[in-house]
Amino acid sequence: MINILGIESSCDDSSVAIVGDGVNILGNVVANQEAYHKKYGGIVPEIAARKHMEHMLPVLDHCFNESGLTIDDIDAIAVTHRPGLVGSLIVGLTVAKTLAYIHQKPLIGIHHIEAHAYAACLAGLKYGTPHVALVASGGHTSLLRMSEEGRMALIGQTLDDAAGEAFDKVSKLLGFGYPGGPVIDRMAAECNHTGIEFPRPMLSSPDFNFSFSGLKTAVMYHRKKHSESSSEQIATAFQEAVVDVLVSKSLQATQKLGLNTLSVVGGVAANSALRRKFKEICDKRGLSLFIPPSRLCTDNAAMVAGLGYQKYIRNLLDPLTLGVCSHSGMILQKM
Amino acid sequence: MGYYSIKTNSAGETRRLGAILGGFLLPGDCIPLLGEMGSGKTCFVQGVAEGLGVSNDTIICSPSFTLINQYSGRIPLYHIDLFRLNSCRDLEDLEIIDLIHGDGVTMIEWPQIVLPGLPEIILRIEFNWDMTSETTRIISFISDTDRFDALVGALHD
Repeated sequence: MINILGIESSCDDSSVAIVGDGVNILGNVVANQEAYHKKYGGIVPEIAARKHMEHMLPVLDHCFNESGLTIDDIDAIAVTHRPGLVGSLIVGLTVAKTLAYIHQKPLIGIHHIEAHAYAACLAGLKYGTPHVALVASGGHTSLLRMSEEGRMALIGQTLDDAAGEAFDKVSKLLGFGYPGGPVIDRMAAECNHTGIEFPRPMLSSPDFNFSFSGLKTAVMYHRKKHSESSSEQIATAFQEAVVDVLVSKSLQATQKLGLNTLSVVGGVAANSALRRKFKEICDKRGLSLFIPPSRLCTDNAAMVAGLGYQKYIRNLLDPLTLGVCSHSGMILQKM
Repeated sequence: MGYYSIKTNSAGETRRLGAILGGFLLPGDCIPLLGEMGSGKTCFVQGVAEGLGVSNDTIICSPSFTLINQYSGRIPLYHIDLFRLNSCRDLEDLEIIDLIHGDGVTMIEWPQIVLPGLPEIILRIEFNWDMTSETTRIISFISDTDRFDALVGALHD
């Protein structure tokens, strides 16, 4: 078995994983404020690179313990080097380079968005299957055309707020707190009828771009004008609108490209209404759908190590001079 | 102290107003943007980017998640959003302070936690809702610099 060590630190989660042959997760440790603050003493701040510095080595140790492997069992080191917060990316990259240099292991730089899309391969999708991937999280909302041998093209993206960001902001607006996704998800599960119809932004536009800023404004306006609507009803109607747009646009793209496989990844893919609606429609239309379990939808290093394996066996390695980059570097393809 | 208030009736008008301001900005300018969620701040910055000559192909997204987005135009634009931050301690971690009054224009959404620490502000902008229509906003410019009069003249036209 070829074992790849993956390192992810592009935003606020420090994560290390070991994946065998691209799909067998032998260890996957994520330090975020919810799961790890007890063990490592204190909440991990959302942003600070220096917190990654504090947490990366304990997480690395923990991952080796979990897998029962040592550095000698590792064939190569894969690390997220773009896009993300520069200060955060540098911490992960430095750890990766140091390990690669000391232990003479190949280094593989990984694109964070491509890694998210690879999470579908940890849920059964065969790598290289042409498909459409929806990557929706707090920082990204992108539609990708994934081609054979890992080629990826950006075919749609948000023009303003990311989908996850809209959840967080509406949650805050309604007084439910941060992060907004899980709270609104739970609330909506118990709310049957809202009587509110929020706009579906960009649904009829001919491209595959998204816009969620206006929806946030519509929620705000509704709240001010209609005191009879409960916060639960507003949250539910908001979620329905977001889900509707994400599902519709993804299906439009799949249809237009003549593909029959779709994957949904990123933190927002943990939303139960979104998963249900995708499943319902894909079943009806006979499309293959891949949505990883929630822990592989949010930021994690298993997706980095898994994709790293695919690069490793194709000899797509990087030099120790590899740098970080805040931008995705992807240019929107005209459809 | 100069004060000038203007009503925009659509996101497009808010963006155009931003574009006019963009044409007046100089390296080192730092502008806090105050206003509720959905009041038009990011939309306004999209216009400023246009006025600063950032390429039309560039999508100006909300920086709430990334905290800082950087664009290259006639002069660099740093679009900052402190929505997710709770304290200045977080801010020091980010080293945002180094950007302010540097080589570019800095537009800061949710600037409340840094306002007391900002040295010299040439202009602050406030965004408010006008409840007559969902798309109407009242945008107020507050400044005490000499450059303000010229700006108000341009905005007025």
